[in-house]
Amino acid sequence: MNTPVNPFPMTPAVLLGDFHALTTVRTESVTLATDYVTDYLDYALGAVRRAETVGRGRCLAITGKLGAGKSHLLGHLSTRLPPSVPADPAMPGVHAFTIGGPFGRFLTIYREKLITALDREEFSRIVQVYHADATVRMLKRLNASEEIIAPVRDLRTPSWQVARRYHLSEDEIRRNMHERLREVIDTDDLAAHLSLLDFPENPGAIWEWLNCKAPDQALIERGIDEPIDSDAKAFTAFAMLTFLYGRAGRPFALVIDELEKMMQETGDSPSWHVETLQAFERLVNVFIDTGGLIVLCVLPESLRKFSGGLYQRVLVQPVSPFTRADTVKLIKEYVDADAPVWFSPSAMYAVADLSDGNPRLILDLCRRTWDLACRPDRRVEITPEMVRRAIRAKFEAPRSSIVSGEVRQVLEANGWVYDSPDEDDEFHVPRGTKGAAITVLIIDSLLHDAALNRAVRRIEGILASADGQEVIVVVNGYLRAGDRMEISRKISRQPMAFDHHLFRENLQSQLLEAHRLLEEAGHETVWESIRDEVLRVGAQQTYTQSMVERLAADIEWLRGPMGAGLLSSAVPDARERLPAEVRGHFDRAFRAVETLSGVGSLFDDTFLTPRQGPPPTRPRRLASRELFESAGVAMVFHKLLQAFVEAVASWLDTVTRFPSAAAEQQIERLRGICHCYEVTAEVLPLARLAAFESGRETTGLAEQGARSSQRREAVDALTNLGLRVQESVLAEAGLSPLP
Amino acid sequence: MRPNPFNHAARPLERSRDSPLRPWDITAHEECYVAVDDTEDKYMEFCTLFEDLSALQDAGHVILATGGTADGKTSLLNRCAAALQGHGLPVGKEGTDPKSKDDSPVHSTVKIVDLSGLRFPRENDSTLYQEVLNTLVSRGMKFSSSTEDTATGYAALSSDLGDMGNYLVVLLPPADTVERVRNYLRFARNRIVFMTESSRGLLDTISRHTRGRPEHFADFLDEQVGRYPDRYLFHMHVGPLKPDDYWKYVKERVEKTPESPRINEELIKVVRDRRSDVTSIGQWRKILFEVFSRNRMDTVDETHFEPYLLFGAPLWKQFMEPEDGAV
Repeated sequence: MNTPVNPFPMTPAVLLGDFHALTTVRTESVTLATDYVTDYLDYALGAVRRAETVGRGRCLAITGKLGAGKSHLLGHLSTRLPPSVPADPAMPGVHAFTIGGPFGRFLTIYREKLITALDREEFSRIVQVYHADATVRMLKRLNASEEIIAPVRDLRTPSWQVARRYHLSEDEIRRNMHERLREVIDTDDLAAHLSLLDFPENPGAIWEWLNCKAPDQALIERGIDEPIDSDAKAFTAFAMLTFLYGRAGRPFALVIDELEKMMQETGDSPSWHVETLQAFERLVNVFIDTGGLIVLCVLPESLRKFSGGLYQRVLVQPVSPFTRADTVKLIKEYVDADAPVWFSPSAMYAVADLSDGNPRLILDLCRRTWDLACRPDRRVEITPEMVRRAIRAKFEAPRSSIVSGEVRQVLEANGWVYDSPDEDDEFHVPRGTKGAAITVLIIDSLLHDAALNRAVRRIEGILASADGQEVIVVVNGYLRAGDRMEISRKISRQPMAFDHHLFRENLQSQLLEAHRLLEEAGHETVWESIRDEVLRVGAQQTYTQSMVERLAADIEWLRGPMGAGLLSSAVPDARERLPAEVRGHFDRAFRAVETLSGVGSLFDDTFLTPRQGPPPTRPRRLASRELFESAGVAMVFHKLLQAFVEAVASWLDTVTRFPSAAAEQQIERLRGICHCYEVTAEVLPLARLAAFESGRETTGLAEQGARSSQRREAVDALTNLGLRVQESVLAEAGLSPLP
Repeated sequence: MRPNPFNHAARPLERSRDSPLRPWDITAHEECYVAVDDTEDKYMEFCTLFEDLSALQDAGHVILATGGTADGKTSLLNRCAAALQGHGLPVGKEGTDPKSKDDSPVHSTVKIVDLSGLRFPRENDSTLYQEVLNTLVSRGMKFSSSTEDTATGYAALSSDLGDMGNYLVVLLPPADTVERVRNYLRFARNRIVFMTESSRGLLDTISRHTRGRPEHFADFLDEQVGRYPDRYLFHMHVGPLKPDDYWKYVKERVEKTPESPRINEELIKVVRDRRSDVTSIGQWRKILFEVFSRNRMDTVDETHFEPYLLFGAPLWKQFMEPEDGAV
């Protein structure tokens, strides 16, 4: 008998492009958002077809956690929008665009999806609308009769034909166009771009430029001297098109999935491009002012990054979690009544409760549970216990020792002296001499009340053991939202989920925060605090030193007997021996460390007196703990890079000197060097450097923008450096990488 | 049918209405110029500078006319070309008068190549050069000029012209950019004169940089196109019409045309005030031409101007008719 096919999707994530294949449970959020969009479309299309101004547009932000169903809802709403290319070009409507999928940067989106959805003929028609408007204004000024004006205004007669027949001044009509556009546009950039529409000598030039081609010489002389080659420029160009089409009675509707991807500086970076966000805000304003519609998906925490002005113009609609009834409905969409695996009502309720109504998790749990339960030879009923097994399998690390090992490494790397626990799930970091301590407690998933009660009792026990107890809870597994709140109330901080992403950084920052709270509460005297901190920093440096020594030993071993002393002053020589491309990687990395640490330029302006006004009455604090930590990390990073340079240069020397040596061994040795760098760099808190640099005082948005760009470049330079060096060196040496 | 004072003589098959005056080609056009706005002053300035051909012998020239749409830039340039042509020695049949009043082409040592109606791909000066050469060759002239490089080609052409005792005036399409003017000046050589006018785009560019003050146009252009010891840019700005120009133009044309319908100054003032958008000589002439085209009209009155005063919709029906039928 064949194993029945699991009906639940392998990857329960929505791509807007293939949305039609999915089923939608009509939750309260779906109903509300659909009504909102339908209401807009009825109103906008009605106005457009009556040739009336659409009036104010709308912006709807659908917000919810990952997997809450935002993209699905967006996909559902997209199906309500008219096609981007209307069936009948003569019938005005709303121009709809959908942005989703692996695009990322707005420039790419603009080039690949937005401008390509428009065509040149329609663009010319839109420009004609403005010409007609300007002609009408002129006819009115000349007190022309209504019989002449009306057909031009209603676009029944081409305005250029009327202008030619009455010998109206084309110059004045074009001046009118400019003035009109300037009246309604408050942004200089946009106004400058729109003035290009009046461009009779080469009407294709502006369209070519909008299609990201290099500007024609005539455009250059009129102030457009660069192609659209950045996100900010693409936003401006699209805002211009939105404005033009919107005011001409063809409002835009734009659906954006995962706004964060468009805004993030790099990959998963939590910081957003300041310029991109500003450009996006401007775009939203243009949409609203021109009767357009924007629907976007955004994580709740991202809303905080919006300016007050933008936030006020956006209707935020959180995606409501699936109720038990919604969950039952969803599961029944996938599982037939006579399926070989069926979910009991209590199992379906367990899925709803444990998933907190998160539809992605619901589907994932269902799929895992199905796989656990399915038997080829008989029909199986799924129970709540099976659901709990599935959720453990998903969230818990295969061995609890992995989690405790990570916690231990964070404590040691940062100099926190701790008591070794018997159970390996509780780490005490004493503070002061009166029993105050920070405890890191590791717990497994809390999937029912009994488990929650056990965890709470342990926490209460720690808190009651002595005065001045701070508890950090690390969850190896899954926490229901309610349980999370319960634990948060007990320990006055959010429990941490164990994941590989940023876990070390987060744990260290929680440790520092707990330490600060104890300090402030007076559980440590000043001297105790200083002593603890000195001990901690000492331990941290010892750890770091041992790490560097280990690295030195590793590289020494890799270099073999030919090597000179590691970390020697011969690094400039080593650098000189490298091929240009490899040297470029290293130079960039050295610059990055300096940029990120900010140490190089730290005191540059400290002793400068202001040109105007009195000198500051209170001197600025010149140094801080963050600075010292940053400087320490920068120094270690610098040393690490020096060692890496030396090792790579030696490897190249060897390969050049002994070309007959087995290529595989040589490649393996290089791989060892690069890997050694990567694993060592991994434990150095690069984020601390970036955080320190980003926390420095800035004077304005431009400076923030420049800093943000520098930071991005620096992080890029250090990320995957080992891999890039390896590839370049192998290419230089004419060796193929190992499979 | 009475003659239309605003009609210009035309070559067969040519639609005369919209064509600028071209006295180097149709000598009768010389009589059609009326001194409106500053055009006459500019022309006189040009004639003073080029009172004979000596100025052309040792330098290349670019003559640039700037002004709004239909302000008379092309007509002015054509008049300047005719003036240079007039300075040339007559060639061809012995005794041919270069200022002959018949409409046959004038033969002169000053060769005029009219490329003003053509459009050339951007950044392709060599095509333009090739066109100049082809036109001259088609007139029976022989050159040793190389076509490999445009600048070298013009230099060789200049040398050939010197050997033959000829001069060349090239009437170019409107220049879109300052860079284009700069290029023309780069290519200009002894005995070669390029004449071009500003496109709307170029006029916008120049106006933007000079805050729209025509008296600063020449300085701006000098600064932008560069200076050469053996090449010069001569700039003329024309238009718009001044208040008295409307009547002056009508009066002079009507007086020069026997049996023309009568018209009075007050009516012209009414039309001028009502159509305040009409500021160019080209626009004004087109309206007058259409008004005076009516049959059986001894005196022009307000009713004849009514369509252009934008009352009612008497011209409406004509949109449906072919444009040629309107004349």
